[in-house]
Amino acid sequence: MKDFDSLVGIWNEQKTAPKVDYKEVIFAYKRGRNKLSAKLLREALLMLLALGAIAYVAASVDFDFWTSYLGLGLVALCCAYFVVMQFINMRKIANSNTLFDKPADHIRFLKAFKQSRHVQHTRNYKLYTLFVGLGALLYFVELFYKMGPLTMGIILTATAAWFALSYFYFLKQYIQQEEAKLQEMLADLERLNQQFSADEL
Amino acid sequence: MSDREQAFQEIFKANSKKIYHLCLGYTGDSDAANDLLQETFLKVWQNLDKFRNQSMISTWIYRIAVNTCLTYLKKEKRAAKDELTPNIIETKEEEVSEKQEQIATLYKCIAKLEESERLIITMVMDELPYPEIAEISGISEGNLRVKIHRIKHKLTELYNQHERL
Repeated sequence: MKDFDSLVGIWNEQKTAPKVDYKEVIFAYKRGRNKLSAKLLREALLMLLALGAIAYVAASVDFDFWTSYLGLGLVALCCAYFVVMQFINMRKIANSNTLFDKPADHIRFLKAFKQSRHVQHTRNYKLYTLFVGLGALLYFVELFYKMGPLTMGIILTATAAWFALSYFYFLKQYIQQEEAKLQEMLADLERLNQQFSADEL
Repeated sequence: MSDREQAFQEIFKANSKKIYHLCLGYTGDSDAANDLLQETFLKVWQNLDKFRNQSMISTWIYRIAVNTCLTYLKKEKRAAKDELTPNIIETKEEEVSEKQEQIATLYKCIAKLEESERLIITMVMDELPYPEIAEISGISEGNLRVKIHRIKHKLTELYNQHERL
């Protein structure tokens, strides 16, 4: 039979030491920061490229229908929204100082962050798809009059098929996975929150 | 070496071992504990300027470590740690001694506690003053004393049960 003091004695006997050196931490920080900046820059550049292409089409092609401009504008807005949201999320994570908060507050922040991501990935993503689809449809109105019915039929079918596949298969699958993961995380965080709650005592 | 690096080196030297114990007590896995330790000190390095005027820097580091450990759930759902993890077994095989076995058993018992209990008890065993543990865990000192009393009892029972097996 051992009492708690004996356990502390055993604890103090341990020779376990971290394998991490302070230099590694500094190196990891520099490497991580560069990696994150590179990722951000790559994503921003790709989306800016897409925006540039849309702007070029809008400026160089003399469309007869206003619907074409509106369609291109909608798609451009969707691209801009994607980039802005990406930056907002990154900034939120980088600026969050909840690590210094009390654990219960930190857990509350994590829960709120998870829920906002969930909304973003489900409701906002649906709206995003809807607006991109609407933009494409408006753009196709003019093309419909200029291209032959066969070509237009093929383009429309291919676009509709891609949207249907994205919405009904990829998005549903993504939402299901996200839901299951979120549910599990929220349950864990809820349990942790209770553990740190003084009312429990 | 810059002043910043010098300060960080000193902070790391003074706190890394205890923070590693906390992470190891929480995860029961030395690789994960090293990752959490690195993540904790990354945050420390990032916020070093904010610490400069803090008298109890260790309290802040502990708080970051506790929150980093709790956030760990976000990244990886850990199965209940009622078995010795491969890394601990490895250490045990390398240095088979009664003491090593006792330490491994102790970690095994800590792993059976709830997450907040694991974090609190590792700080108690590293002999942090109660007011500091209360500050880190965000629990009032009075409630913390009751909680610690319960955890000590629970851990001792778990350990003795394990030894009887």
